[in-house]
Formats: sequence, structure tokens, C-alpha cells
Amino acid sequence: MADRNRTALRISLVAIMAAVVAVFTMVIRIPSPIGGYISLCDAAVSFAAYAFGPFTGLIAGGLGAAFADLIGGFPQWALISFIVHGIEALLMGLIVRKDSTSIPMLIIAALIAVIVVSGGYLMLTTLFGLTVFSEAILEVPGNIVQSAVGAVLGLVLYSGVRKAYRQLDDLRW
Amino acid sequence: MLDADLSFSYGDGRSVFNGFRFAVGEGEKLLVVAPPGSGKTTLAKILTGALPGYSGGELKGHAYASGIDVLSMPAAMRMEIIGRVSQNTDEMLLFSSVREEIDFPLMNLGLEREERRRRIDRALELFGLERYSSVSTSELSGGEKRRLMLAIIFAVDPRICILDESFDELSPSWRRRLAGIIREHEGTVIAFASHELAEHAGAFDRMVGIGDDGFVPYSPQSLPEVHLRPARADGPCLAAEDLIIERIHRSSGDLRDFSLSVPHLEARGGECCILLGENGSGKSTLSRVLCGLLQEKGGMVSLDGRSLSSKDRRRTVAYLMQNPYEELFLPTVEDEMRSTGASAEAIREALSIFHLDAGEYVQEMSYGRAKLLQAAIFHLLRRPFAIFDEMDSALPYDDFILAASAYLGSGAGLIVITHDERIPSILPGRLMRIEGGRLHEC
Amino acid sequence: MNASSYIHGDSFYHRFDVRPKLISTLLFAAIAFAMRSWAGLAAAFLLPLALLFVAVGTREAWRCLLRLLPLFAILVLFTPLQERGGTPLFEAGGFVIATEEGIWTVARIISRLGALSWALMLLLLTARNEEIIRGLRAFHMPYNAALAASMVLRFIPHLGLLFSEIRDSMSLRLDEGRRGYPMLPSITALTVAAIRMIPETAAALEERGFGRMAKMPNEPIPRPRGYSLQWLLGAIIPLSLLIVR
Repeated sequence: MADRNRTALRISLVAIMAAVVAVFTMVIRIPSPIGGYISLCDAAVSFAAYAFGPFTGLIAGGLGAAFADLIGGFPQWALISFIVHGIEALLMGLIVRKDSTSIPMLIIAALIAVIVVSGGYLMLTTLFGLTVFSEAILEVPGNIVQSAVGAVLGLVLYSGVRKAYRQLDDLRW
Repeated sequence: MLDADLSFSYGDGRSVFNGFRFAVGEGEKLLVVAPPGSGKTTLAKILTGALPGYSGGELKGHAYASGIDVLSMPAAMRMEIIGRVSQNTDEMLLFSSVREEIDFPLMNLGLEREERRRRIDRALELFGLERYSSVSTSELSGGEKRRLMLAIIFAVDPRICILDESFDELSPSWRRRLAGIIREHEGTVIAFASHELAEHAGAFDRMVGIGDDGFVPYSPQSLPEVHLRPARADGPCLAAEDLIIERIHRSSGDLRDFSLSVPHLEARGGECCILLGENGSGKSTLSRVLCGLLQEKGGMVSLDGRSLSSKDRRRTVAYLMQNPYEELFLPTVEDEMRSTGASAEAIREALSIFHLDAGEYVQEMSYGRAKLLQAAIFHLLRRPFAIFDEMDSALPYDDFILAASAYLGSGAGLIVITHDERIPSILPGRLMRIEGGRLHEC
Repeated sequence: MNASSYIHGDSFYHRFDVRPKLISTLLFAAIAFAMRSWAGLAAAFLLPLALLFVAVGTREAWRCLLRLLPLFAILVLFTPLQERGGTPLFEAGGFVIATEEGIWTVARIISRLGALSWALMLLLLTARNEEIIRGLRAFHMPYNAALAASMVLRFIPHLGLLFSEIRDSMSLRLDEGRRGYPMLPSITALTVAAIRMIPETAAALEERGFGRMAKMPNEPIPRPRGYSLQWLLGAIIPLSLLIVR
């Protein structure tokens, strides 16, 4: 029975976190320092990775980003977003272990987010033949800002949520 | 039928029940009236298996239903024996369409498609939801969600139904209808409420309160007497003239228009106005316009004759929303109260007026206590006017009156939205009603 | 906020069963990558777009088109940078503006992007989310995955609405003279509210009997009238693109 219990919790955890990622992506937009708007997608993805570890992060982050594309009217990017943000959360979750967050670790996590997101979109969109290389390069600066801000904000969010909701760490699996 | 003896403490050591014993008879309709924080929701969750569940905590004892100890069964296997309607409906909705929501437990019961359809149609009809069958659950109003949750439990039809504050948010006519349904229901019903309602009368066989080691005989709360100073004629005056409010819902496939006209509305500092109206008649929408969260289609809102912009309205009118958690953001009670910028002395005073504990964690407070905190915060913000949106629903009359008198006593004008037709007899004030898309004074 | 892109309608494509629709979407997407001629690129771009116009009407289809136009425009602007070593087609003052191969590269990308996007929008705008999930179940998507997907679709609008409520109530509590709403407390409050729901939702799943049945039966979807014809059309329409490949 213990096993079944875990299934109900896992499904709820993944579904709710994916929805959080999607809402952060679609609803919350802040002006970017380099013009245009950036979404908080990566903040939610890295929060999921910090709070719930690599695997929940992988599924919730990937699924949330993909759902945001599907619902938001850009379904053609859903698959790529799934892969990029899934891997982003997976790697960040593997590197940042809870209770041992240090500044260097945060910097490494942020670097990973930046490399995976900007490099991932660049590589996958050209690989799938959905854009030309020069246009894909154009997207890189925006993605760098967005993922770096996201990685830091994700950690701030994690410590804030943990303070208000003390049972947070019990939900990890 | 149900025979229990249980002890429960939360993961952080807070003990709620210690050797708590009670029995409920076969087919009995029991009403349990107790103030917030006395463990009603905890008891309901223990019986259906939501606690200790994932939140941790230690449970000892037993609860025999027809000779089987339900506490020893996994939650999923209890559903034919015992089920509950949760007080907070949002946390129990899992799907996007009303039909799917009711179908899910029926599928888990292993019922055939025909039988499921029959039960769904009957439950929808019983709670007046036929036309919402394929509507998105996120577009239902509070009262409609409550009816959906009730429809689910009556479709599943467990031998024991636990209704946790299920009369909340229902309009008087639906409250009467629910009382009728309970009376005619064959199975056992245990209903929890924070105070007795006029509509409860006749529906229940027995009424009890919660004591230390079991149910205790219910002693009717004497309705508190309220002495209010007459409103000062020179107090601030909030007025609305010829307001037209419109909202458009985009519901799966059909557009539902909503419009409300308010020819004249006036409230003075220190004065209490009571606003009544059916579910979905626009009471909350009107509140949102008055406090500057929603723009009106026409007309104006003014303070002492001066027209108020949306921004001014936010500083003038406090709006205590139905769901208190939506207005609470910080870890502890103290953090919340400090965020208002009030002096340490004012905070101490508010803590004692509203019976709050500074160190308490907001996310661990019961629904009713969260409402008291919400009231304390807006009290500290000292807005000249305040709107209580169904504040009475999860509080005993005493606490509700306490909050209302604190506001009125400080000179604030109060608009009280309620479904409880007793409120006007407790709280003296002018009566207003929304009927047929129009607000008028009674 | 609405998690459903469904547009109510009664076009022939609306009446299709979701299963042939899913296959049709898949075929359109796959074939978009297999085009080898100018005519093929144009057909792969235009056929699903035309279907979109027929199915959901001019206004909605136009909105889908508008959403991609800026990207198409950027791609066209980048044409001069593509395949600079190829056969020059346009020159200005000795500068090669576009080569034949460069234009081909850009056209192929626009065709794929468009085709992929129209095909997916065609599905999302004419089938309700529940239907799509039910269709995927019919193609053996695991029950738990389908359940999680349905729940995501329920929680997205719920959390979206909650966020606007939180933002509203934050603005009611702001001090004199401050504008807008504080970003960090708002998103923290939203996240806390969402996380609080996790154990409650897990308990709700169990109280409604999740886990009673070792395996949920995959109930067959009843077949509508003309089901075989729908399958035939759903396959033939995209496959017909291969003729002009």
C-alpha cells in the first residue's frame, strides 16, 4: 500500500508543479534589462529542481514549459521546450543538494541553466530545421538573461517558500 | 454504526484529540457545532484517511463502522463506507469539467458506463447543475463549486457522509434545499458547522458540540448583543451613483453575460450596511468595484462628494475576500501584522482583540482563524471603510461580532455581505438586497 | 485565463473523432519535414492553413497566422546571410543579396514551422483538452500520465486566477503612494498556495478511490457515424501532400 500512496503524491506533485511552471511562464512577465520582456519560466523550473530534486524537476519543468507553449499559441516549440527545461531542471537538481547551498554552487547552477537553456534552444531549433542559425543566435542574449535571473530567483523563492511552509521538505521523494 | 475512540497529534507535536470517543447511529443525522480550531476538519480528515496521510502526525485508536475499523483501511478503500465534502472546495477539484469530476470516483468504484451516467445525471439534477455538465470547473462560482462537491458525494453514496461546513457559500434557498436532501437521505450524515443556522432546523436528529473527550450536548449560543454608537452624521460618506457593472464569462461554447445596476448606495463612517443576494448575483463583483479592483461600466463612486479613482478606492475601502488565504502572504502572524506598518502597541492590541498568537504560522492556521487574522490586518491598516465578504460563514457569531464591532468602534463604515438571514437581527444595520440584477434598499 | 484553446464550432473537422484527428496531426507534422520541391513546400504550408480557415473561421485562423508572422519576417530578413557560397540570384552593387540555396533554406524553414504550427493548432482549436487526452488513452497512453495531464489542465487556470487575486489583494494592502504590486512576495505567495495543495490533492485522489483498482480499464470510445470515412480522410488529406513532394 505504501507504494500506491506514493503514486498519488507523485502525480499531485508533478501536476501542480508543472502548472506552476506554466503559470510563471505565461502570466508573469517582467521587463528585461536588454529590452522586451522575460518570463519567469526558469525561476519556476529551478525552484522545482531545488525543492523537489532532479526527477520531479525534469518532469514538472519539461511538462510545464511544454504546456505553456501548447496553450499559449506556440505549439510548435512544445517538444523543444520540454527537452530544454527538463534537462535544465535535471542538471540543476543533481548539482544543488539541499542544506548545502553555497555561493559557488549557486553560481555553477546558474551557469548550467544559462548553458542548457541558451545552448539547448540554439542547438535544437537548428537541428530540427525550425530556424536559421543566425536567427537562433539572435535569441541567445535574451535566453541568457532569462535563465540567469531565473536560477537566482528560483533560489530566493525556495528559501522564501521554505520559511512560510515548513513541511516543504517532507514532500520530496 | 460508527463507534470511535481516537487520539491524534500533528507532526509538530500539537495534540488535537486525546482519547476522543463518540458514536453515531445507523442513518442518524448529526450536526456538530463548534468554533474554528476545535478540530472539526481534522476529525473529518482522520475518518476519511486524508490524515495522517501526507501531512505526518500520529494517529491512535479505532473507528468501527458496522464492525470494520476504517482507520486500518487505506483511504481509497474507505470510499464506499465513508466520504466527506471538504470545507475548502478548491483543493478537492481535480479536473477541468464538471462531468469528469463526478465520473472519476465512480470509475474507481468500478461501475459500468451506464450506471455512471445514471448516477451523474441524477446528482447534477439534485444540485441544479445540469447546464454546467461540460463547463470548466474554474468558471464556477463559490456556491456552484460547493454544490458540485455535494453532487460528487451523493453520486458516490457512501454509508456515512461527512459535510464539513457545507452550508457555507450557499444561498438561503440552496441551504434549505440541502437541509431537505439531508433529511430525506437514507444513509448517515455528520455535518460540521461553526454556528447554528436557521436552515439547519428540522434536518438533524441530534446536535452536539466538541468537548475534550467526546461530543458534548449542544448548548445554543445566546446571540450576542451588540451596542453600537450611532454613526456620526459628520463621518465620511462613501457613495455610489448609477453604477453599471458588467462582466463577461467565456464559458465552454456559451457566453454568459452578467450585469448589475446600482442606482444609489451610501455608507457612512461607523455605520453598518448588510448586503444580501443569491449566489452569483454580483455581491463580490460590486465589492471589487467599490475597492478599486474592477472598473465599472458607468456611474461613479465618491467619498464626501469627491469622485474616487481606482487607486483612491484601494486606500479607502478594505475588502476582506471570502478566502482569507488569498490575502495572507508572510510566514507568521507577527510578520503579517508588521507588514502593515502599525506601531508595536497597535499590533499588541490587535493580537488581543482578535485572540491571535504572534508566533503562529499562517499556513498552519485553520480557515476560521485565518479569517480572524485577515480581519486584524485590515483593522491595523485603518481604512475608513471595509467590506466583509461572507466573513460570518466560518466563524461563530461571537467572533464575527467581535470583528465587526472592532471595525465599527474605530469609526470605520462596514458593508457586510452574508447569506445568513439572522445576521440583520444580531447586527443592527441598514439592509440592502441584490435582486434581478439591481441593488435596492429594503 | 483559460487552459483550453477550443473554439466552439460545427465544421466538418470539429465533427471528426479525436483519434483520426491525432493521426492526421502526426502525419501533417511528419510530412512537413519530407518536402523536396518548391511546390511541396508551398503545399505543406498551405494545406493545413486552409483547413484551419475552414474549421475555425477567418478570425481565429488569422490570429494564428499573425502570431507567426514576425518570426517569418525575421527569417526573411536573414536570407542574405544564408548559403553565401551558392548561386547568386539577386545582387546590388556587387553585393549578393540572396542566393538560390539561401532562399531555399529559408523557404523550407518557413514551410516546416508553418505546417507544424497549423497542424497542431488545428487539433487544439477543434478538440477539447479532455477529448485529446481520451484519444491519447485510446492509443495506450498510461492512465497515470493521462490523469496527471488532466490535472495540469485544471491547475493552470486555477493558479492563474489565484495569482490575479493575490496581486489584487497585495495592491489593497500597499502603503500610501506605492504603485503596482510587489513581485517577489506575490510569486512566493502563489508558490506557497500551490505547494500547500499538493498533500491535499494527493489525499483528494485517494479519498475518491485512486488506487482501488490495480489497473484502470481502458474503456473503448464509442465510434461515431462515418468513423471509417473519418480515418480515411484523416490519412488521405495529409498523405496527399506526398504527391507534390
